[in-house]
Amino acid sequence: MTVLERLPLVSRSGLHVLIGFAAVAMVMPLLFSGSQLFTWTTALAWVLFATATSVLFGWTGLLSFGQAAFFGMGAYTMALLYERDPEMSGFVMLVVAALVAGVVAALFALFALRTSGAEFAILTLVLAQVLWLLTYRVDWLNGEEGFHGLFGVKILGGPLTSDLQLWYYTTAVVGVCVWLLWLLSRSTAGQAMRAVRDDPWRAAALGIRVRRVQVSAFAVSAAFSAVAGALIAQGQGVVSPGMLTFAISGEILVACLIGGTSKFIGPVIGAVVLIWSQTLMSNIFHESNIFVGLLLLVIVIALPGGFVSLPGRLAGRRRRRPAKGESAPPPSGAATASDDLVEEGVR
Amino acid sequence: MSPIVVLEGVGKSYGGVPAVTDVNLEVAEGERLAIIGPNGAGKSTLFGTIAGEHRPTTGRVTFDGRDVTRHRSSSRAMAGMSRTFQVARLFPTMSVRDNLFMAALTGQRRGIKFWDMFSGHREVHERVDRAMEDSSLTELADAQASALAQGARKTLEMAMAIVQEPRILLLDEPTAGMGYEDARAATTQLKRMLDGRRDMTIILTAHDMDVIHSLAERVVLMANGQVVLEGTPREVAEHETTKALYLGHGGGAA
Ligand SMILES: Nc1ncnc2c1ncn2[C@@H]1O[C@H](COP(=O)(O)OP(=O)(O)OP(=O)(O)O)[C@@H](O)[C@H]1O
Ligand SMILES: [Mg+2]
Repeated sequence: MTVLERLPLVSRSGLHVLIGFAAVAMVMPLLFSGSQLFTWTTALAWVLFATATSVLFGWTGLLSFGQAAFFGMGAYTMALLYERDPEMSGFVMLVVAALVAGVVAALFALFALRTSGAEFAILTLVLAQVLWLLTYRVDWLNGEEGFHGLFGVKILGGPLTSDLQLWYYTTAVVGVCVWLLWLLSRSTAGQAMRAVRDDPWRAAALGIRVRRVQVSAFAVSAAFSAVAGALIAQGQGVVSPGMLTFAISGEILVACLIGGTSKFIGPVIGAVVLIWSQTLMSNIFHESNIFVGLLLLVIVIALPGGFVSLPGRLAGRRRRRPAKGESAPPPSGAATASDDLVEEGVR
Repeated sequence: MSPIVVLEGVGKSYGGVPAVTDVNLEVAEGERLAIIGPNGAGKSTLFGTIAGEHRPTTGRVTFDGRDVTRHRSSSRAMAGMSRTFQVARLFPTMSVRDNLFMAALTGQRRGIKFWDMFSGHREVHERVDRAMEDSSLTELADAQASALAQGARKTLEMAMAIVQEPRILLLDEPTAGMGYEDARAATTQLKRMLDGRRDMTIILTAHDMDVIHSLAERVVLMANGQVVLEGTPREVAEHETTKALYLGHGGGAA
């Protein structure tokens, strides 16, 4: 992948990302089948969820404790569409789910971004909790029951009928979405997000509309999180309030942290590690969540900067004295914006 | 010449404590003005009201004939105002080149767009290369901004402001925190970067008289948030008031 990346045409269009996903799509079924392939399918949906979360948390430096709101919103949107019209194409449902979440997120962010740092994080948490409550209070959201039978969603004319078909479908959708996000990361808008994270005052002083960049990042992050949620709903066949819980919001941040957000591929690695450790642990231990939690804690503490910081660390150790700048830990995405900016309405 | 910036009765308090009071100032297009004064005089605060980081508590700020008192700093930047901060503000995780690219791109009033690839914009990249040559930063092009030494940070921030080709350039203490020799070198460097940009209006603050003598045509002396004196660099430097104010301040403006 890195060799391919050097070719200008490839790196500009992000072809290496698409080629990477195509390769993974073809190789995995040769190595895995049945429930293991299904775990990979789940992991890939989480790869999209983690990358989408990183747009906000890693690239733009905004901490959200409510990513589950959009993940769940995608799943519920798909379920409701399927209930209304079982003949509707699954791809159309994904697009609608993304639009719904994107618009809700943009409206929410316009209001919530008047606060900063911790307050913003709390507001996102409140949003997710409110949606979670609504699933119990609103009749047509079916409470704990949720929705069933989403296996039936039509893809290219018919429902998916095997783990293998689900695998190909999920990799294709995730591959295209991650590719779009990769292009975004290489666009001037992606660069502006990084600028806003690094120093919102400097960004504003150059003429970047800080609030607009943040709202866009929030909307994009939500839209792609919704697609991930809808993919999970399709794979598991069910949608339930569990998708809107804080556990989900927390786990996706953990995925970003263990992978590291300083490189595009970080959250991709983080999501795979998270899903596989959850699956393997639950096969071994009864109270697996505790062990998963401990494992992740150890990774986060032992590897600040996540897995993507590993090569730099190893190189630094070999040279004994790491070069300046390389040794500097990447900034944790959270809470970089100054409170003063809010007062002045810059942010 | 017509004024490009007009301040009328500008004041700014922090939680009821005034930092700047009733400042009236006109800056002509193409003029080079220095604002001096002892620590805490209100120079940086006044800069903030001009560039838009602070909304003034009283008064009016006019830029190019338009009342911009309530405009955000990003709007003012897009209208042609670029600034540096007393403590340089950079994008620490980006390379020197990318810092300059961000500045050059926004300076071109190019919108920030999702579909607009960073690697395009050949002419902007060329401007960035030229800016690095002018500011002697070419060797550091790929260094991360967080790894730069103090002097290079200041130089990069000035290069970022200048590459935007603003109509007015605001420099807050371009040599602050530098030793004597570094400050001399930085002043020479700055003069070179401003070569052939006679039409660019410049307002700078400084304690360093050397910077003032080599860059400014007019000097405004501030104390306790107010303008107390105005004149040519020589007039102000030799005035009783200036000497009195700077006595006991370690002779910062000898
Ligand atoms: N954010 C702030 N909150 C409260 N008070 C402030 C703030 N910024 C500045 N002040 C106060 O306002 C006054 C003017 O400060 P300012 O930084 O504008 O002075 P200055 O002339 O730039 O000084 P220096 O030469 O040290 O840079 C000082 O008394 C300072 O303590
Ligand atoms: Mg100051």
